[in-house]
Amino acid sequence: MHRTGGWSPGLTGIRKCGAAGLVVLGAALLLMVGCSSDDPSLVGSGLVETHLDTQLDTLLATAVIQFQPVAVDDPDVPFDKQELLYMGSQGGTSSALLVNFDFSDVFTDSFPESAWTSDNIDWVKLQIIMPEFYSSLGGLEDTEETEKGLSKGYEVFMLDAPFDSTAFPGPLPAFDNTDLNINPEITEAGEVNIDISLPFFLAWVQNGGQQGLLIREAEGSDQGLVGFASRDNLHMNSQFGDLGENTTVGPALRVQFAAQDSIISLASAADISSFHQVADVPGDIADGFAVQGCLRNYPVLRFDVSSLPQNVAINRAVLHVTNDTTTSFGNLSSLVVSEFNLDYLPDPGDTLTLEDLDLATYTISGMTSLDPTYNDVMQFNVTQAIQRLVNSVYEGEKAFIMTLGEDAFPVYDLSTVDPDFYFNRFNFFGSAAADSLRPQLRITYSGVDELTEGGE
Amino acid sequence: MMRRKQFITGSLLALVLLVGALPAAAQSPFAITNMGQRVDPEDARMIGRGGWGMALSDSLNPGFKNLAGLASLRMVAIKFTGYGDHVKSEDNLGVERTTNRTLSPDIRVGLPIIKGKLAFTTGFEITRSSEYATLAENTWYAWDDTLTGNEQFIREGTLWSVPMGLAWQVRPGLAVGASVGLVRGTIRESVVMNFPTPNNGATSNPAPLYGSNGRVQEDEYTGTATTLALHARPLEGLQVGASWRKNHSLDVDRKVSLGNVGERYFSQWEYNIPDEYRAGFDLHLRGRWHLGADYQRMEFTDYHGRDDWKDDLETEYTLSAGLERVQAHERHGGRNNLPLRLGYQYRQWGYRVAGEPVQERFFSVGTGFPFRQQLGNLDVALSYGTIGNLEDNGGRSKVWRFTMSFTGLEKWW
Repeated sequence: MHRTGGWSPGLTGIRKCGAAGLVVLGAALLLMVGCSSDDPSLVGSGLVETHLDTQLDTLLATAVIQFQPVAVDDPDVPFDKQELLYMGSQGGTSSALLVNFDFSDVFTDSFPESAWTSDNIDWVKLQIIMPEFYSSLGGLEDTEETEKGLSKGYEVFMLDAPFDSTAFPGPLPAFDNTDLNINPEITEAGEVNIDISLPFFLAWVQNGGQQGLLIREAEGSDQGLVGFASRDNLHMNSQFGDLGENTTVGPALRVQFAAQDSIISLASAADISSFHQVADVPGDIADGFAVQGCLRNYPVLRFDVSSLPQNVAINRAVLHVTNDTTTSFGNLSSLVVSEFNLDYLPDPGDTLTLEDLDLATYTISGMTSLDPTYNDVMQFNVTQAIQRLVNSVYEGEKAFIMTLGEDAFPVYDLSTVDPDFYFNRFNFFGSAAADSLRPQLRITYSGVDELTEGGE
Repeated sequence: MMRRKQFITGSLLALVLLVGALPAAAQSPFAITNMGQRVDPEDARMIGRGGWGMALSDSLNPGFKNLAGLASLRMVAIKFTGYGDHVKSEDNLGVERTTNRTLSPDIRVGLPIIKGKLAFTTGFEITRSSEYATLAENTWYAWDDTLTGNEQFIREGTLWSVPMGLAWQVRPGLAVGASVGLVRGTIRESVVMNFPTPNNGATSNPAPLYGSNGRVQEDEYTGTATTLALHARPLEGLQVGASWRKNHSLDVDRKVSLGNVGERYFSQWEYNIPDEYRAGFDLHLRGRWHLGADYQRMEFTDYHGRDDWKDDLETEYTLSAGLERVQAHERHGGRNNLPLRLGYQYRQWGYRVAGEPVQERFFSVGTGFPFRQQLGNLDVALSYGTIGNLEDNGGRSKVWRFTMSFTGLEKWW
């Protein structure tokens, strides 16, 4: 069709009008796009079913179908290289300090053999230093009394022979029953200097070689385990407050010479905690379970959740446990709950290495700064773990393991020291305890009929 | 060459505008139920005169409502239609919500194979749409906790088809057409329950103690529909048209999922869409004035598919009527050359809401602008209408709608 007439504006006008119309109308549409609707509201809600058919059902799982306390070792830090030495008794665990001194090479140009006489030596003190935690027992509930820490008396005995580190933890070695502490008074916590009988000391010097000492708490001491820096301590700055510049790390014999008007410090050659009595961790969940530092021991437990319907959404799942604050002790700690691959579970009595612990676990949740003597009810959010269980994510069985803040759980590893540093112990009530105290999983879930009856 | 350049430029501009119009927000809350709100894929010219167009056979501004009318095509035609809705909805408790939405329900192409005799058409059209969300505050209880939060229901999805058809002029004044449409669509319904309290007490972004619930149900539809059409000019000044889309089945694949749950639930069934009948006329009154009307009917009472829809199904019918003063090309005609359109449309929806039929009434006006050398048109329409009523349906929507269509013509061979 050939156009002979035309709309009055002519071809140019038509083109302009068309373009203008497109622009205006396009702008109108784009403006419409930009118009924001009111937020959804109740309008229309009565027209359809807007609820899920089931929602927020609850399941209380209290039956623990698998339980085992697992001792954990760190091959990089063997027992005799631990940073604290423990003395005292608490919760059925007792320990003393064992220290070897080497007198085979004590004579120097400044202190020749002639200087090591009773006339020239004013005193000899055995120095051991507590970290700040034990010197103040700092915790969530500081009081005037706890701030002073535990007062202890000290007894020092000669071992019949230098101790063998491979024998510990274990029974106390044979020792001479003569107390070498010539000032056996109860001493306040902190830096401890024990006056050592000078004749005995001079005899060690004269004999040369190694001399083992046993340091244990005397009667009348405050009850409780306390720690002292070992010669392997790497945290003198962070855990021990202000110390003198020349403070010797670990147990030391400090000798005051009169003629030279100076003090020398003889560092120990070896030191170790005896832990001659270690309270067992419960082996039956009915009796409870424990999380223990220093001599690491962590509980593995698995609940029976077979009554949980299939293919439900877990709104919340909480591992609810209650700590017995009357028997638990130790420093502020992190507690971490992780999924544990049962393929890594050692035989009862065997140990797990830290490396295997890392491989066997997947962190779920945790809490930090928990005081074993204060925090009783603890609820760990294990929602994602239970959801994974429902979703059959894993092949094989998974359980929970409760640990301290190990390096494997960096989110909860907030302390500058590893869990082998402080002897902390959380004692949790077991399944034989009252309903409100026993370990339990509190699961809140929702489902829809199509999926709880099956699925693909 | 120049015309082709204009055609392509115009097409691209229109495409950009319509793509810009694609994001869709809420429509009437009645779309939240059953099969969803019927979408009128008619172009702005038809919308402006109430929606009628079954009897249209215009080679310069072709309509695609009755494909038999395309037999008269002499040039390649492409048409885009888009509209924007401004909807104010209220329920019988006096709660109101204003929503805006844009949609491009129709993109069509017509290709003359034998000029004025035989044409091929294809394109894309949305036939039903469900876009709406509700939000309600609520309280729940678990263990010793009181949970407060909200439930959000969201429905979204469209039913659309790709019709491919032929129109053939059997003899002057009589044309027939047939098409096969690939029908596809989805309806996605989700319920999300949020429990913001209790939370962990963090001062910034406190984390709820209880995780949300989210149930999602997705239905995907696939099928084919065949349509037969007729256009005739029995008398001078009178055109009629009719079409029949045969009842057809849609295969439905359903997937149900629950948030955080790995497994899914799948099911399949068939969904029966009843016959759709359409008929209409176009009567030349005098001068440039035409009177026309269309009627459409689907017996959804014959439907079978979702059991939860069945009890509310109803006969769907639409009556469209209106007047058009067609475009003129008089020299110095000025604005008098512009087309004028006005019309009225009444529709009863294919399903009841609150136990009563849903009635939809629209008044509309429109006009259009020709392109150079009559190589296309830009048509616009403005409509106002109501959907439902407070007494019978428990709610009502008042709708302002602005529709725009771009039609481009080109001699490609």
